[in-house]
Amino acid sequence: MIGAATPVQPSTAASKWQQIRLGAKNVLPASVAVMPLGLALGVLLVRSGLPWWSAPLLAGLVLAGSLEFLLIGLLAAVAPLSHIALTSLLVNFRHVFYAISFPLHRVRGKGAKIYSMFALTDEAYALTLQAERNNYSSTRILAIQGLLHASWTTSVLAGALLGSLIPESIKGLEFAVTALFAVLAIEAFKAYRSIPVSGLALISAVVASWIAPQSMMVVAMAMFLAGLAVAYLLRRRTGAGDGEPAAAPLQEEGSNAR
Amino acid sequence: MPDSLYLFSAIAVSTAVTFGLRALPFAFIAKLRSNGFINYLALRMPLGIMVVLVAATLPAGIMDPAVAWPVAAALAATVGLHLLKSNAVLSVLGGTAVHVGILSWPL
Repeated sequence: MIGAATPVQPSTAASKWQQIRLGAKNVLPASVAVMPLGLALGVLLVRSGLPWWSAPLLAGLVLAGSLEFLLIGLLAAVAPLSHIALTSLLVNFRHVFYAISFPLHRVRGKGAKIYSMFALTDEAYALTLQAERNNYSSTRILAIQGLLHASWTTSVLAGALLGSLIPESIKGLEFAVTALFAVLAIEAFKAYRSIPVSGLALISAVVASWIAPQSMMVVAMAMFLAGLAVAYLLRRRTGAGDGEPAAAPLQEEGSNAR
Repeated sequence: MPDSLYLFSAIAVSTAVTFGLRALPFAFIAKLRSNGFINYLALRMPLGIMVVLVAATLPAGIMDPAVAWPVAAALAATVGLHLLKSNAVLSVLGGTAVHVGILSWPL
């Protein structure tokens, strides 16, 4: 690999700017792509009766798009905090797997490392997959994360401010959330084509909406996880799982990131 | 309408859980890499959780045909667009436009 032997060490202000510019180049397509979703999130938030200032707070602090879409409904319904914690845990559980390949060791400084973990979004994970091979500097990785963070928060705030301009006669905008998850489900299916897993999830959803209509989502996720745990134990007992690679699935996560 | 204190607490709770999920695993990287059950879940959770979320975000009263058919049409548009173009933004906006169109301007 060209240049792999010479680690980039930006010491001067000029080379620091150059690193930020390189990071910005990496980020641009992703920032443009998330902008309409950010606007939609902001619009939906004010249309659900939440105050406009909660939009940048939600976007800038939680910093996890799909969870933010779900939280709007929970916040508007004043769901119990325990319910919010459990939903956050289950919806964002995938982030646990990002640590395995994210280049945190390249980020210099304690504060910078903490920020880097805080801003470890799907997009940040996907955009730094090449960091090791292409020798990204600490500044470049932080620039990628910071610019993603800023463009997301700005577009959500813009949506919240513009949202009040949309007339009341426009109905059905909340379908954007369902559509988003349908798209993410298709992408997840492309990464892991499994009818049994889709079926287990679907059955969990139907049964949960029947036995626990008020907390269907959390009950369905718990049933799905319990089903997977049972399947895993059965598979170990019968020894059918020997053929599965242990490390490969974790690399597939990247293609799954929005 | 939720009050400000509730909104602050709820956003703080969600932020703390999300940060924990992102930061804690760095302390256990070696163990995570070799754990069979974690690898098993890593492969299957994204698909299953997304399917559950599609079902969970369907509007109330989905068993009522008047609610169900605009949703079915909009879902078909979303999935169709995505299979054709693989552009997430286009699929979400297209599907939402179908739903908004049917609900806002009934024939």
